[in-house]
Amino acid sequence: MNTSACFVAGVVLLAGALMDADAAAPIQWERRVLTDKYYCDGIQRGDFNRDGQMDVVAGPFWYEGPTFQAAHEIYPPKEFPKPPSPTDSLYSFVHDFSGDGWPDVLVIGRVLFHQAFWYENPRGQTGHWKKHFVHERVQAESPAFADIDQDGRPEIVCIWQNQWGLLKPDPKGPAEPWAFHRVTRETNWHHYYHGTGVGDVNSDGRPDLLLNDGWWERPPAGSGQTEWIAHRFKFAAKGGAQMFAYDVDGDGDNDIITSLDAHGWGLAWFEQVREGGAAAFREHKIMGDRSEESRFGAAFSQPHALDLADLDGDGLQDIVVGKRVWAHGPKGDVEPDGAPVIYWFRLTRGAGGQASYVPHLVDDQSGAGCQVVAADVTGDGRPDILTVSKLGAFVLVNGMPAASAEPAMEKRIVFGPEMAGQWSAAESTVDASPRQGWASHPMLHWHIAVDHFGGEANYPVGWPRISCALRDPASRDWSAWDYLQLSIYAGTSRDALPREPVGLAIYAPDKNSAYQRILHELKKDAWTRIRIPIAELPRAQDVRLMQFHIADSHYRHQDQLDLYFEEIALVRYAQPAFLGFGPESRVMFADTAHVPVRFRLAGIAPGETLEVAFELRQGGRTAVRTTARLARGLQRIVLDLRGAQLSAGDCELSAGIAGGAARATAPLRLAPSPWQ
Amino acid sequence: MKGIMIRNRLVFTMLAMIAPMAAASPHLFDMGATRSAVADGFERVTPEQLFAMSSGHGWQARDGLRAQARAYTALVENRSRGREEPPPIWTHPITEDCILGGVENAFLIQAPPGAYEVYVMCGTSEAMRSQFFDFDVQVGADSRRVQFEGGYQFRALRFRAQIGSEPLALRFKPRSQWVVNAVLAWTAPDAAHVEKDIIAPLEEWVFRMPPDEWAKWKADPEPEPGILPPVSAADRERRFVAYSRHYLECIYPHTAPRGEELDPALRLFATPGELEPMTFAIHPLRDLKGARVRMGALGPVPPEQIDIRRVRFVKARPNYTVQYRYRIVPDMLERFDSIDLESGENARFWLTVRVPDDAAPGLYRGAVTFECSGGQVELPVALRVLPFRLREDPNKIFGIYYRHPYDLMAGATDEVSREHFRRRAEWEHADMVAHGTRNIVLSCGGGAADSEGKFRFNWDLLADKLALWKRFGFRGPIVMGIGTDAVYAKHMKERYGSHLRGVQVPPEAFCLEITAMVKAIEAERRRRGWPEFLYYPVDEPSTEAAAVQFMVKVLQACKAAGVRTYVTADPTHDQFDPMRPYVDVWCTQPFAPDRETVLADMKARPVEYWCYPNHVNGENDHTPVAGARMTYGFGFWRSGFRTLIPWIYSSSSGDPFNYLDGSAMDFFNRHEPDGRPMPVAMWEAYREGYDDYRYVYTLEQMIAEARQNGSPAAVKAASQAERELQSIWNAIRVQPKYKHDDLWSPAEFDACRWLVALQIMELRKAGQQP
Repeated sequence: MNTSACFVAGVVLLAGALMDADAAAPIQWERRVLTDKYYCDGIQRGDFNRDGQMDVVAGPFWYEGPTFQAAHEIYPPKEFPKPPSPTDSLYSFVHDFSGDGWPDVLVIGRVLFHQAFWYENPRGQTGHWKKHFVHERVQAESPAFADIDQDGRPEIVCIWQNQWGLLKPDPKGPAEPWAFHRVTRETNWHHYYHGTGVGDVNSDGRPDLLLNDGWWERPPAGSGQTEWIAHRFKFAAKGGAQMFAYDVDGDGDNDIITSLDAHGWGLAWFEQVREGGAAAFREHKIMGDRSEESRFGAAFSQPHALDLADLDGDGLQDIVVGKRVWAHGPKGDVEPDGAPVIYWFRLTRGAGGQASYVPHLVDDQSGAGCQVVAADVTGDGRPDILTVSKLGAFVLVNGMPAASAEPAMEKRIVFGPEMAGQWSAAESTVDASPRQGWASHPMLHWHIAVDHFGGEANYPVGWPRISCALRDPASRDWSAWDYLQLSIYAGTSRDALPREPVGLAIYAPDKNSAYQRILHELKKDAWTRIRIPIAELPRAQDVRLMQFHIADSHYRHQDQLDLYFEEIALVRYAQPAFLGFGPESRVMFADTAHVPVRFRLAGIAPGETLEVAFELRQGGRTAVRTTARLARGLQRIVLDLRGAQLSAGDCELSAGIAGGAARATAPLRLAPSPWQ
Repeated sequence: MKGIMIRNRLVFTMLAMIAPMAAASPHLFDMGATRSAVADGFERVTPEQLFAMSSGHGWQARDGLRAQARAYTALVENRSRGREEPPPIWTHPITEDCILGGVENAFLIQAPPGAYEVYVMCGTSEAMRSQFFDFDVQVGADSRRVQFEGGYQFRALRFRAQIGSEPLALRFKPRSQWVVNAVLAWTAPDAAHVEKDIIAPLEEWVFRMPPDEWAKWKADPEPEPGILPPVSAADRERRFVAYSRHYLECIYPHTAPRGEELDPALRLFATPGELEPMTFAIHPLRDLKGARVRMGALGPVPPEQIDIRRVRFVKARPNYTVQYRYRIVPDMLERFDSIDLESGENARFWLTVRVPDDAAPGLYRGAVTFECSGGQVELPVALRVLPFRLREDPNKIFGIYYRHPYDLMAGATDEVSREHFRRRAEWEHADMVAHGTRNIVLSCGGGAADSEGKFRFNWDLLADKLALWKRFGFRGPIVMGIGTDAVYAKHMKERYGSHLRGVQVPPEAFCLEITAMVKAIEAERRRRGWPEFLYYPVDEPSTEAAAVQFMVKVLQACKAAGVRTYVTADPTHDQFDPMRPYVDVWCTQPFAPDRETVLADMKARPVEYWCYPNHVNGENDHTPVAGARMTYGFGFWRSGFRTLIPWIYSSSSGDPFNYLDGSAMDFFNRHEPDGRPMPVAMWEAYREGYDDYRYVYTLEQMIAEARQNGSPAAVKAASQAERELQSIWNAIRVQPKYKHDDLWSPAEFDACRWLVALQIMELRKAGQQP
């Protein structure tokens, strides 16, 4: 059986989240490809046709929301080769520069090579947008575009002639070249300067300039002081990209969030502390290099595009970071061929105020250029993620229900810590731990002291294990549930867990019909939530025993392993949901007669059915539409394309339940047929 | 043992119960030795028994007859693994002994005149690995050829005969040797009794398992078969449904076709010289007789270049040494002429099209015809021949572990057997080449040094193997097993076990002798101009501290001879850390470590990472066909590894067509009676994965050439091709072991290959533009 990756979801919470009482399930993200061509490195959003739906701009095109399938040219597009360099459009910013009520687009190119222009929205007319010169060059790697001087209009924050300053249009003459207003003295600022942002560091209500070399305090308006006050602090050796001021730990002052090396490794937040009455900063690393992957739960290089947004609706600003793809070609920088990922780092605050970030993979087939934007473009109130890279332009749709941080789930504890006495252990010990877990419950604790010379006589290098039988026949039928949910904390004396750290076996009903799985997701000193689809169990209606085991051979003699099981529960969606929706093949031939679609329908009671409508669209046209009445569980629907007149190109598949209770979409690419 | 004796007693009792009915007729003869067991109701026949009217049966001549007896009725000890295991086969009193002959002879039966049916069982329970049995059995004018290799397998022959005044003669005419276990002859009134009470139980015992052993085996259910879609009137009329499912997806005996799979058209695309599979299946609605498949030319592909086989279902264990559980799985692809089909049980037909090297590009159409007693169906076939040839990546090695028939040839005692093993080796080498495999693991054999410090190797045998290796264009350094265990036994007075079980730290003299052995081999290698050897002292050492300590010493000793070493171990196990400085080639089962680690390590120091993907070799599962293609193609491309070298081209324990007997499961390719390769589906998927890799490699090369060409059209096409490759790269769901889960769908493999092909064609076009 092919199992979609989304069927098995893992969440990693760092050790600092041990006491977090509000653990979130990962958001399901859906990637929509606006283009797979390389036109630009920046992306933004705006309602360019003023239809009330948010659109997306990426370089020479704006893409019409909410489907983003129709692309409209702003200026003549030029496709760029991936290596070796970036494009002429590194940043897109949106603002009504002309003052006509229609959003215009500002385009900034490469630091040393391109002039900056803004393009005037043609107000619903077709054709290219009128181009207006802004400035000869915009220097610095991540120029900000914000109303830092609080005059009601945003300006570019950048370097010009070795000074930091503000590039501002004249509101009375928006088509005129913009003027540069310096805010620092002339210093040897490198034109490729990394690490720039805008935020109020000293809580005086005035946004300050954030740089990798410190923060520059904006003086009060009307003070006549043109040069801002420098507070030097070297946040990182090399510097990142966009920087933010945000009260990460909730202590009332703003802290600084930045990546540490936009072409290398690292992400951190810097806690603002007072030293001698002045603001100072204490580093808290969020992500390190590859060698620290197990410590932080994620590692990717070149964090060159960042944004902040409350992605999960918990009221805290999370961080969105993208790995830049081939900034300097396929051989440049660190891990140029690493997966092109977008991550979000969920901010959690413990009861004691300690803040930590939990990495969640959003996507590994897009990556970033210079700009990643977290903003709602689908109109559901949830921030989506816009990104663009050498692989194309993408909208990553936030699939989390708007009502809460986590889709409503029903839960039944299968093995609670009070059942510790019912577990049997071999070559290890098991007990109920008074220590409280992720969701503030007592935990089951399994301790293994790896012994390569003791244990069973014939197998000194053996298999320490614990198991527990489901004695109550009423508890053995799991078939009405969607997942078995495990929350496990793995502590070990080792530097990292081995590749196959712990195995799980579920006898359904016996050893010969057991579900077996290695819990690869476990991380050292971290909480991991694992969801196992009940549909994968051989006989879910007759589950008899659960066993966890390790192989001594995967560990060194005298290694210590302590596993805490915060909950072992059955969970199911309380509302209808499509899980793992998509075509069996993401690429098919254009003359294919049938498109099989697979997904799991969850959130409806056993025996109930729902009418689900399926649609295949191409080029804004519905090519196929059909409905089916479906029960919960794994579904395979075959769309009959005969007579649909599809051509090679991109399509969108969708499924929806009447009344909008649930909806899912997935892309499908049709390749030209070899037999036509 | 006691249990076995009781079991045999029960069987004999059972046979004894039927004996009174068989007193006069049928005539039942159990051939063998003087002291071996005789099946109840049968008469013992030894080589000494010449025909006499008084006895009514016997041999025509005594010349060259000999008996063999080897009973396997209990578990046997495996010292290396430290456990008791099932024997290679479970013998029956009929099969535990036999009579062999090297010259023509006849067994004569005097019986009342009339029409008789005759049943002959041939085989031996001795290993006889180097013996190729090739002989005719003739009864009257009817002659059957019997061919099989070695012991543990049996053939049943049936004849009709007319006895008059002369005795019935069963003539055994050897080309090499002949062998017989039993002869049965009966007349019509006894037919039902003989078939039901003697032959059926005998064949179940011999070809499956003794009844009390078989009682321990439980069948795992087939995967959910699905629901048969509505059947058309035409299908009802001809009593079968024809359908097609991608060859990467298994069809089990009772799998129901899906609606969209009915009335199939078979479509494929290929480059000149490429082999490409296509399959269809018949789901019989009733029993059907005389099923045949035929196909004419397909454009430039003549019929003889279209290999038509059927997929045979076998009972296979769920894992290598698992006992008492089996499931029925599709496995080998066997030739057939005409077969009978059982209602409700699928028959899948596997056609492999070889596009001629000089085939012109274009779209060609043809048809494949299936016919049987119910009727016939013609399925349209479309073939797109592409206008380019695939290139080979000289930096990658596709090899395989191999039990070389030349080793059997060396032990053969007759020329027919020697010729058989020589021919089989050639066929198998050619088969490997056709599947992209161009390297095998070899061994020097030999033992410890003698009292004068000299080593004795069979250089001529190794030279013959290497000559064949070279003749078939094999390449790459050769993994060379050496006799570390023999040297260890000399110094430690005992052998170490499997995976270095129980090994102890050997004295320094052991290490010196290993170094001397490697030096001796190297000297001969250089003298004969053989390719580089990678020294392979121990297979799969365990992670136990003693094993690792031993490995460090052995590897140091090898390296002291100035050679590169090869270790089959997972480098991600940190227990192996002490070995790292002495390992030149890590060969590991999964694609682990990951690409970045592998490439970084190979860049930093002269180490290589090879992979032996046994999880797609059938050792533990005969069904991950899609996983095999992913492993060999896009997955390999993505992995960063240099080599794929799975274990093994063919592995058998006991009867090579009975996967349940013996200590471990049989798996991967079989061979036909005459030695021709009989592939399994996964082997075909290896080739398709290998071809996927070649498509990608061809495109990568053409992108580089286009960049070098520098014309705007070429550069633009190169950029587009890079984007396409990148999107495929990104779509790969990277796994250390591609098997079943989270793979591309079967159709997506072909679509991705096609996307690559399109880019190749675009680059060709662009290359012709200024």
